[in-house]
Amino acid sequence: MNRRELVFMDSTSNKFWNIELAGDSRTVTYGRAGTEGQSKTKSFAGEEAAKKDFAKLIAEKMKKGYVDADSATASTGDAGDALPVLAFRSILKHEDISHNAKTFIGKRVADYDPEKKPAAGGKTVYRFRSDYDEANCIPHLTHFLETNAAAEAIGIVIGNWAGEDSDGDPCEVIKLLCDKCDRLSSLKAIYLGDIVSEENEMSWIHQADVTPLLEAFPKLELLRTRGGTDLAISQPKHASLRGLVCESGGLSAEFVRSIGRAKFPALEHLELWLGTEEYGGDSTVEDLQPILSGELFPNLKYLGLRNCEFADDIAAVIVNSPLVKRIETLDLSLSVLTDEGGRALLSLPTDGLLKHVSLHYNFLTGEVTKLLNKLPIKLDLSKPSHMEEDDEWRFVAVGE
Amino acid sequence: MSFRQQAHWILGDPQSRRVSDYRETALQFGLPAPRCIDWIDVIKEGADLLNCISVDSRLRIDSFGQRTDVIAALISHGDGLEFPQVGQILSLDHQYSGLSRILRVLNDWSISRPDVELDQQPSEIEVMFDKWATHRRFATHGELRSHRPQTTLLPIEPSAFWDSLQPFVQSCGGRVFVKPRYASSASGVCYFRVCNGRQQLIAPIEIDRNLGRVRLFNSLLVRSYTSPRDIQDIFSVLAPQGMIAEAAVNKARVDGDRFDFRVVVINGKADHVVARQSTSPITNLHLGNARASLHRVEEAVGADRVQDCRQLALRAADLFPGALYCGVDILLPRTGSPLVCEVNAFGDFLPGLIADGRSVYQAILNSSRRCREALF
Amino acid sequence: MSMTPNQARDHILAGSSEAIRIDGSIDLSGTDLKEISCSVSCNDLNLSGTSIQELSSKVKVRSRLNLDHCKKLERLPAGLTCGSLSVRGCTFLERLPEHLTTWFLNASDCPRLSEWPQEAAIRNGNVSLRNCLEIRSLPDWLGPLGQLDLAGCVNLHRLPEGLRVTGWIDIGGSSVLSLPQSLQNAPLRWRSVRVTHEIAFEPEKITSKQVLAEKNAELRRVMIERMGYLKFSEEVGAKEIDQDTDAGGKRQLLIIELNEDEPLVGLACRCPSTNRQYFLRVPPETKTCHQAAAWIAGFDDPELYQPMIET
Repeated sequence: MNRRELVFMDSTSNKFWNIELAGDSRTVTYGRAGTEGQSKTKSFAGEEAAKKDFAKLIAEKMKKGYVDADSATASTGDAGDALPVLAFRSILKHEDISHNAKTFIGKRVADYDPEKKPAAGGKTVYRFRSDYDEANCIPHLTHFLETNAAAEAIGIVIGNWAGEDSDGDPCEVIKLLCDKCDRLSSLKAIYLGDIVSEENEMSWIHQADVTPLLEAFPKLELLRTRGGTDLAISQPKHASLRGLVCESGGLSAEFVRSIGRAKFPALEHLELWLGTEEYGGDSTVEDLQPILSGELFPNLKYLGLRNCEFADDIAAVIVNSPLVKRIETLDLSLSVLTDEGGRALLSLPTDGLLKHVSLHYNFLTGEVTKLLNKLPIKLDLSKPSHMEEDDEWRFVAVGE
Repeated sequence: MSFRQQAHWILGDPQSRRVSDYRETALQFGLPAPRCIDWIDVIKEGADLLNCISVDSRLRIDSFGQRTDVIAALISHGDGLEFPQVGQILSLDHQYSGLSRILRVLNDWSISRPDVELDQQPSEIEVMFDKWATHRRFATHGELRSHRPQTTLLPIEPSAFWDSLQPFVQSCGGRVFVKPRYASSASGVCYFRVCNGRQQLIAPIEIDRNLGRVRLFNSLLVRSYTSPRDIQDIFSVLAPQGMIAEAAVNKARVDGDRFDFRVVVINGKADHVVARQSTSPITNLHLGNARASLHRVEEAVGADRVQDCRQLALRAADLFPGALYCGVDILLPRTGSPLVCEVNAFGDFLPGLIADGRSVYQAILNSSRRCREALF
Repeated sequence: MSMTPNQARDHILAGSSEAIRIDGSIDLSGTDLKEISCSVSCNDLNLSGTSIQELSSKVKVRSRLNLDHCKKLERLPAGLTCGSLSVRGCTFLERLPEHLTTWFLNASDCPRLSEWPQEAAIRNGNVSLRNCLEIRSLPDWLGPLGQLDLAGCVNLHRLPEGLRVTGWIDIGGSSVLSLPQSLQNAPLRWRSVRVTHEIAFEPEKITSKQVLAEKNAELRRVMIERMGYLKFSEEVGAKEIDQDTDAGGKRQLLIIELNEDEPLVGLACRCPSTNRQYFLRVPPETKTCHQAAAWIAGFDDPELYQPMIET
């Protein structure tokens, strides 16, 4: 194969990277999705050297989370206009927790400004939020729903609804969206809670029962939420939901169990941030059994059990589960994963469909990291810089 | 004597990029290479050392930098007995006392050497380095008082500190910045929020607890603390070193992120402006935050409002007539007029920033205080 | 009939015979329920602390079945199938049912449990048999498992060859003296404390020097327990500075002279609630047991891990 087309998507970007090998040179073309991008050609002493560089660059990109543009993960499926599973990803890296979404389902996110005419064609996803004492979330959303752009909106982002009152819940926003669901006839993706710690601590965010959204939007493909307190899906049923992402500092055992009895036959991407007991995350690995049994979501391709205190327990059980043989991506990142869990993951099946495992942000030692790297699976074992040696990320104040 | 022949001297850290960049700029201008006097020597040996400066020279006082030996020497000079490990936030008050003593000596020396042209008078640096003194200077100039965020000077005694901070936070709507009185860059800067009886503190600080002793370190990772114990511990270390609190302002956004401005005012001109964009409330550039394109910022908030910020920076810098240049931090709220936050004596190190075809150092070398004073 | 979990609960408590099918959890914990007479189908069923004697085969639990502390429980239905089964502290329970199928089994503190079914499937999840005094063997059909807790299984001497455990095995206080080939690399625990193979199986090789070098107080305790407290204090040449008595019994303040280092002073005491022997380091200037205890009380053990998101 002399050509590879890769793509990357997360909460901050949506980009492509293509490489073509021609004799003793290779050309890389890369840029933001939807643009021409830019090309760079490099020549080598011989064909072998060019080939080697070609393979090396691809391996580097894959390690960073790029996937083949025509892979099941990235392709848009039969419907043609369906969202690629790749677009369901929340944040990849630890540091992105403190960023508001720059992209959502691969589209640019912008704060809604009623003074400006919204972009047509659903190209931009608008965010509605209350900043400090400016309680704009509901008024701006109401304004947007009356524009023609609403009918074209594929995705919508609800930011900090609470403004100054950190205990405010999103019931009013949910009700408004549901009441006006006919105005949002193209809507496929909702992000309820694009809120960073400066706006409201993740553990302070009050969520709500999101069942009304599932009922009002039968064409919904992705529901992403942030905040665990009071989050519920009392009727976990939806025929076409393909992605469910629940970011939190702690998901209640009851919530996790409700996912364990869900009827989401189309689900391909499931991401649960299980959190810590301190913030209400009182689930255990036993609550995950219905999910891990593999009987629940026949189309699942990505499973993320992230930000979890008991990642070692999950690792020990998940390697034996029927599910792990069937999915493409397993994500245990942002968790307290130690050598015990790392050693368990050495038993991951390598003969199934599993291709990517993310263990970004972990507490593994070099020894176990080395053993894991020998697995014939793409593993992300990166750590944010502050988890490396102490002194390197302590800075010295420069007198100015 | 012509500008081209004037000898240039720097009091700074000879190993720093600040000094090497400045030297390079001077050489590009065809000036003789500036000679650097190491802070450590002046701290240890006093002003006599400066007598090596040739007649009619120009002297730039630059940052004392971040070298452990220099910091320790300043602290000892300020009668401090505790010395920070690399990155530790400790003895800021003694460090300032030491700096302040040296600056006074420099001031006396400069009076005895009127032939030497100083870019910044040491007494001005002394004020700029002390956020209380800066605040008082603003407070005594009525027209700027209304362009300051609501501010309070906090007592150093821990219980009085809390008694003073709590009502202040309430009066500011629940969100404030609590900053060390003497530190610079983002060191020790805390975004503190009280909401529905809960507390939140976001800061580039790492807490290190060992055998019951709490130490704070500057961290490149901006963390969020919500446990009252952590917050109490952070303030118990910072408060005795001196602090100031100001109301957190709902800053304007560009591309969804907050930003503020660092304006380097040089010789009465506010050409050099950097918009510092950040997803966290702490916007200092060295924490990995991006410089936003000024063009994007103007698009987002309107060129007029950016112009207002430059104007305000100029007015703030006018309060420091003894300084040829200074770095002024300007906040632009979502709505309403800009606010001036702090003035940094050594806030001119912005490599790569070009305005009107000139870098900051080029612009500084191109002006001189003697000419500026002539304008007044 | 379709009902809410709360209605289902009332229904069962009333002894109604009508069948119940619900999506969700039924919580009957702490009630004095003696039997479930109707057929039940639900996701989770919590019967902990009830007076139930026998579970009917008409009760179908898809996910979690909790029968903890059902002191009268004697029988579970053959073919019982669920995601996780918990029968902690069922002091009357002697056997598990034939053809039991589950991922997770927690049967800790079941002192009479002794009989394994001929055929059953307990695999993929975790098994805890902590303090099951009558367990003498493990069945061949067991596993693969995530974690296996055998702490306190005093009558269990060996594990079946071929058993697979992907996580840890806890053998603290059991009679297991070696592991089968299939478990040679398994991480080990000793009553929840992570230990090395040596501490678990070759305690005679532990030296007092290793103990003193160990920073983790829990691990240090296990090491001293494994090598024997007397042997430890003799080997280090500990001298008593002070002694008194507290809730845990006799306490000693010991000093150990170390070459090229300040002397090590520590309080040897028993924890009143667990009766475990600890040796806790205190500042070398400490003079009395009382001072040492006060110092220890004021000292917070640093947490091993910070949660990754300090929300």
